[in-house]
Amino acid sequence: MDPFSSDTIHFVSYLAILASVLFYLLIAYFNSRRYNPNRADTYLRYRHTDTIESGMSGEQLRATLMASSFSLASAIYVYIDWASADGMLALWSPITWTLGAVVLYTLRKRIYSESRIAWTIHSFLGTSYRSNTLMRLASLVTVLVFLLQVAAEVFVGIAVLTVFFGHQVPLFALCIFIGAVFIAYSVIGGLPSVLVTDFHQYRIIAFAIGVAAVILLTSGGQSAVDQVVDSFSNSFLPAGNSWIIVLSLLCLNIPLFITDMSVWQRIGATEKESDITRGLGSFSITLFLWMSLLVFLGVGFSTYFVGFPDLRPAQAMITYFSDTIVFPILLVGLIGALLSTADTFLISSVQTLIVDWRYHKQLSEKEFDPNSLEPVVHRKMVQQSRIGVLVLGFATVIAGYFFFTNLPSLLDLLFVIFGLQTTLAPIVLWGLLKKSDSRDEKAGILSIVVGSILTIILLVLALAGVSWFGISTALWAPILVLFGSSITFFTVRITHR
Amino acid sequence: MRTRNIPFILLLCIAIVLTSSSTLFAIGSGGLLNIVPQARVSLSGEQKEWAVYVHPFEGSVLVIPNDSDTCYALDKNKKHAIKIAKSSIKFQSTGVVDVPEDSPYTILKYRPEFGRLFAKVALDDGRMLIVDVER
Repeated sequence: MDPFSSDTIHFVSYLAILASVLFYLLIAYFNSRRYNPNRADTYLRYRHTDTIESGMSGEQLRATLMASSFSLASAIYVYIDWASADGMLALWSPITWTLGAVVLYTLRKRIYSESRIAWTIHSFLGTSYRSNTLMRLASLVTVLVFLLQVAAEVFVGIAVLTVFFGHQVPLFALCIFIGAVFIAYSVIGGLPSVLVTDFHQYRIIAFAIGVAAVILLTSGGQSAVDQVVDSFSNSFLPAGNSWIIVLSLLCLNIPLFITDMSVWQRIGATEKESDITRGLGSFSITLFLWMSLLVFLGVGFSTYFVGFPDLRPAQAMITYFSDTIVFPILLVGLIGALLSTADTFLISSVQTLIVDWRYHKQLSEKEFDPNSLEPVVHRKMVQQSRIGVLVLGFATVIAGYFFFTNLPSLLDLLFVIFGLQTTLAPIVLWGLLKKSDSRDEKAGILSIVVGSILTIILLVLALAGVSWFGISTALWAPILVLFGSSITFFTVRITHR
Repeated sequence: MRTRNIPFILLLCIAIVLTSSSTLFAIGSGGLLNIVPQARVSLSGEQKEWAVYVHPFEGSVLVIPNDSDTCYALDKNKKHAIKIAKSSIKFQSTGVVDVPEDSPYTILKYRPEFGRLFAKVALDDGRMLIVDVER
């Protein structure tokens, strides 16, 4: 066998994928032995207890946030596709995303103090507005957004793995394989395993993208730089309808982190406030640099990836490396990106359902103090969380397989998914600014209802192929949902006081 | 500086060097190609008397059939193969052709493979186009 024949590269790729999967499972197993598996606040919150020496450090916080940001669906697949089509206009996504990280950094101390007490962002909202209805509505929004995001990751995972496996392996089997991996280590180790694997996945993803970038640069790097410079002057500044996309990105990304349950979960799991400051500060910078690199690669090498029959640009990028030894590294990195996002959203969804729905009454009676809970309650919570991870995990895998092949472009879909999350922005911000009380309950509930109805309408219109001013209604979602829910919240608040 | 950051800094240095030294002369970007008289072309095992041109720096290959208006180019940088009309190709002088940047082309489904003395690609109809050179 030739040392670099396609057989060799495929064989090495199989080994690399299996080794990485085994590595994640071992991490989960050994990590689960480090702490008391029957403590619900450890399994779901990675809290400092007598069995865990410390919470997350600043570096771990940055790594886990970066690993989730390297979502295969939104940050890699869509960025490469989008940058290939629209050039440097796509750079507005990292710019606005980083602005969102700066907003998170600004509000970090309030989020830290609140997340140390409340088990979820929704429990915090329930306490701030003294309303269980509002808490439950908000938790439904989070669960829906997160599970759809997991399904989107599975969908993209199929697209990536199909390029590698060809059509020799059925798509359904690929779905089950992808799902089984992140479900397995989440079931075994809960949030601690998810956070520790994220830390390693971030390093693997960064290394893989770095190596792939270097290889691409050997094949026309100077021309790619010229292309990027040209694109800067031609397409970076929005013109015509592009302003709507930039406005939509601003509405989508600026409130994204502060309304994200999984971000609250991880900030709360960090040991000290100084670690949060360090972790979130470096996260803002790292996020901008890495995501911009992806856009630069998409723009600079767009002519390499566009025009293949039956292949999206992101898929063509993977086949570009298929005859090089970089292929196994890239494949493991991309799978890491998929797993690190899917596991985070899955465990957050389960935590939300268990804490805000199943055990809310018991927890609120004990003022959310885990030490006041009976050991049997802890055990039951962990048990039911494991079942939740298993059931919801496989349900989203099946949803990813069946639904997403029938939907329009993934970019449109992601705008709708995250557009729904912006409906929480006014109530979360008002709560964090400590201006909310029980008199705002009605305003909060109505703002969520209006935002959700708008999302459903826009999704239906997008599926019907409707566009306004030449822009798909899906891309309007963040603007209309954020404005709709904010106007409702403040109008009702003023009139009902 | 932390030790674990060294691989990334090293990668960054390599990237900067490679970026500044690697310019793309791919087919369709205006590069000139020279004829290779000793090259042989076969299509699914059948020998063809087709002309073969190669880019002097990057090794991309252009195959011009004598019995059809469709030419095939195997781009070594972009690792893709394209179909291009013979009328788009400018024959500059004896043995030298130019593929202008704005020439319309279609990318083939399969990526080409390049060896030291051969290049090959599966055409969309499944036939294998092989170009090789005897030393």
